[in-house]
Amino acid sequence: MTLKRMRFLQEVLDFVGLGGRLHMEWISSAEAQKFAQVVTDFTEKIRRLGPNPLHAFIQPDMILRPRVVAASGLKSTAAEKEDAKGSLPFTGKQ
Amino acid sequence: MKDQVKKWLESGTVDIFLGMKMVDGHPLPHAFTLGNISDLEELVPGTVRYPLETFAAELAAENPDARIGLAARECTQRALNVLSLWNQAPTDRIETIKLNCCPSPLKEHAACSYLDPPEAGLFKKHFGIDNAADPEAVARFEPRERFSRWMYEFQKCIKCYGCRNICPVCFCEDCSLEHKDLIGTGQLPPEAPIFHLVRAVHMAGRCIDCGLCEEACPADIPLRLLYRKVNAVVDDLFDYRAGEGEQPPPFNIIGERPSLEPKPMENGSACPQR
Amino acid sequence: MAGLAAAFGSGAMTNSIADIEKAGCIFIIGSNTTACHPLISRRIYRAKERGAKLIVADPRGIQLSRFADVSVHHRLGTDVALLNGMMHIIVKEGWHDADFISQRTEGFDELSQVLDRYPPNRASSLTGVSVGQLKEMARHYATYGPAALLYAMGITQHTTGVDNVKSCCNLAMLCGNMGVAGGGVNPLRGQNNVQGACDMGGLPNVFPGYQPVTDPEVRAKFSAAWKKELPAVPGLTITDMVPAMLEGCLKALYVIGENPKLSDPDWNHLHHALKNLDLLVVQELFLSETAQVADVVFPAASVAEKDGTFTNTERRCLRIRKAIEPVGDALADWQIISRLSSAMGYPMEYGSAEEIFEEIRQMAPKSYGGMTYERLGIDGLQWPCPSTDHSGTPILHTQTFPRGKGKFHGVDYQAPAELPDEEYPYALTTGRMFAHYHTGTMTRISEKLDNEQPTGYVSIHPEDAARLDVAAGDPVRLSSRRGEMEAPARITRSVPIGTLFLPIHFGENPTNVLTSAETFDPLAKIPEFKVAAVRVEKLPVEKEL
Repeated sequence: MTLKRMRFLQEVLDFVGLGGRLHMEWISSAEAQKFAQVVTDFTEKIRRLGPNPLHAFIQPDMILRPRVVAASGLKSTAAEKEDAKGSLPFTGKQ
Repeated sequence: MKDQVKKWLESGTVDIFLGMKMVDGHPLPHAFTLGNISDLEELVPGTVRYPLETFAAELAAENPDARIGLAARECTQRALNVLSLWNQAPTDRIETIKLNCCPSPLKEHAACSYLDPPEAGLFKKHFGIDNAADPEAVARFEPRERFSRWMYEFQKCIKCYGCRNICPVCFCEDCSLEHKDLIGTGQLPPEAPIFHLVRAVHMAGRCIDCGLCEEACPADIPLRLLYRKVNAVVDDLFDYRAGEGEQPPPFNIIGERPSLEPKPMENGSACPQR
Repeated sequence: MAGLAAAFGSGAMTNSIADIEKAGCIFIIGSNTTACHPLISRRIYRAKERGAKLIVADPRGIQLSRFADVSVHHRLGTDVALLNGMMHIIVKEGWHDADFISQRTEGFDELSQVLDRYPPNRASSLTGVSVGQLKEMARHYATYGPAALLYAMGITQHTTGVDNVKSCCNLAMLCGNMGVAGGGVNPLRGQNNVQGACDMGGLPNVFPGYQPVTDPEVRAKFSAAWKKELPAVPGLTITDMVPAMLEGCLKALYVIGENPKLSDPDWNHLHHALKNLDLLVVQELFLSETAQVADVVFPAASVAEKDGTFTNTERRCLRIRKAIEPVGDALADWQIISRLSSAMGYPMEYGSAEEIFEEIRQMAPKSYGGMTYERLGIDGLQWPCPSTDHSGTPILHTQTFPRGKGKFHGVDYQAPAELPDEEYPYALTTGRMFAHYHTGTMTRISEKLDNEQPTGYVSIHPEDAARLDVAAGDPVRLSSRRGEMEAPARITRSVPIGTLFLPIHFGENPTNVLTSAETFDPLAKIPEFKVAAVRVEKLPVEKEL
């Protein structure tokens, strides 16, 4: 059931263009090596996919929530700057 | 139809009949009863739709003895099936008169306000998503383009909750869309894409594809298309089609009394019987 | 109102809401449309998706800025400079409509003399909008006709409010955008019936149908109909009433459906003035801040409890129908007024709201003469509707203006009355947010809307916040020359550096403690809610453990 739920979520995310960023794996506490491998592979996969496209849609009129403020130190993140160059058809940015 | 409703009301088959009444050139939902039986003159089938099944469910809850009749399209019937499945409508107290409706091989065009949507403009075709497109066409865009097209649509949202409020199968007392920890409050547009994705996930195995949400949406966001995709995934994975059978849906995210609490894990009934 | 009347001869939205979909270009200035007029933004989206161009000029970043072909953030209160700068470019490039100007307007020479003083460089340095963006605004507005101009309180609530409106009219006439489908000058009204209230003479200088009280003929007509000699002197505006209360020459105030304690500028000043009154009567649905200090409160019926009509922003008169009997002792507004008047020795004996509407038809025949309850139906009718065979007027000024020719006004830029200085270094602007309505008397008691936004807040740019060492949610104290108030900080780039934004809905964070009652438009008397100078201090944070 859980697997199917995850498949469901993966497909929905893929449909809106956020595919490949959700992964589930069963790893027992004894399988340290498998754990390391899965994390390494997934990290590499995310790296290949590049920054989350959501960053391109960070808009000036958005409210910065406390956690975002803390994480970005009130400055644009590198990803935000890169995406601001506008490689997407529509970001609403001028 | 007028004669049948009259017969029903006079014989006591139903106490209240929900249908459309013509008022100053507009068909509006109306409750016909023995007390206002002369109003039946103005009863019209009409192309305009309202979720009469929602009103029926509310009336039934308020009047535990009342028998309710309603003019039902095929989508209304599907909605009643879903509501019955979730214990939201006492279908044993609800009688329907079927209206000629959704297109089929026998009748290509039927009386439904949804069947003639305006053609999408050039800008929307170029940067957004054509409401008339099918999910396969949308899936053919490159992922990044797909994302930016959806984000274009979601960012138009003015958080009016029209999609949820008109929805005949949205009945939870506590709505996740209003849950502060899930979706940020106090800003427009509501957090994109999460606001619309949360609603989409909740439509899985529930949406009966009536299209009222999209018709109500002031920003013309292609909601029906999104929920159709979500239901297609459910069909694919669970072989489940909302509104058709009497099987419980695969995602039982709510308990006996609709709330946000998930059902306990050991309750196997959340799985479809296959 | 005053600006539109000066330019065209009548003050109302010139086109219709549905008409916006037909525009080739939509220019929005001083209106956060998705938050304040959400269903008008539906028309904007539809026009945009059909291919119309969208220009958004707003000191803040708003939702519609995301969709704009040209989005600019001009400095607070520099609207005239911005519009003059656009017009300078339009005339220079020859994009103006010379035929329309010569046939339908007058005063173009006066305007062009003023425009000479606004070359792009100067307009740019005044407004903070780059020369390139100015040119794009001008090109879009002038060449993708018909262009609809939409504005709201961001234009009017300034000391130069009338000038701002005149400039909007200048721009629309310059490009021949008047009297055409998809064009026009469209002020978006703040309430469902503010247009109707003005139409009924809810202004100090006119009777119903904008018939001036100073006109002896008009006065004779109304005096005869109402069987009472009517005064020839216009009454006071709200802005004039406050000093009159303080001086003691205004002794009693009767407030119907308003909450001046929250909505009027300079809270402390007004508080003092209200205390000076002998009698304060408030007619309200709920016990608003103003009703709480009233001597007498009349409980008014809500929209669902009464019959009548509203006239909305597009001049459309719509019927409302009683759905339930009034709760408790509440009565419809007209019943309260009738009873009060009768008790004071002038009997008003109306049997129904329709009877009053019949009187409106008689007394304001040019605009309402052709409307009857039966004809209004569900869709209503748009004035002017002079006769019962007239189908209403979706677009004004198609052939001629009420004053004959449209008048250009040469309008020079004037800086807002109060600019930031060393003592008060931040510019403050006020406005609305989507979840609440005006002073919140109706919306803040809704659990769902309260959940959406439970308290007031002040929007601060992240760089200012960093300088002040303020984090999201931290309480800050704002002070101006009038007073001080506190609100939690909201960190957002929607406001420019050095500018703060406060929503007006929240009584516990009363924005109008800070605004000034002394700075208002000399003609329209509308206060400058949109610019004030303030100081910001961080307050100690109470840490939750």
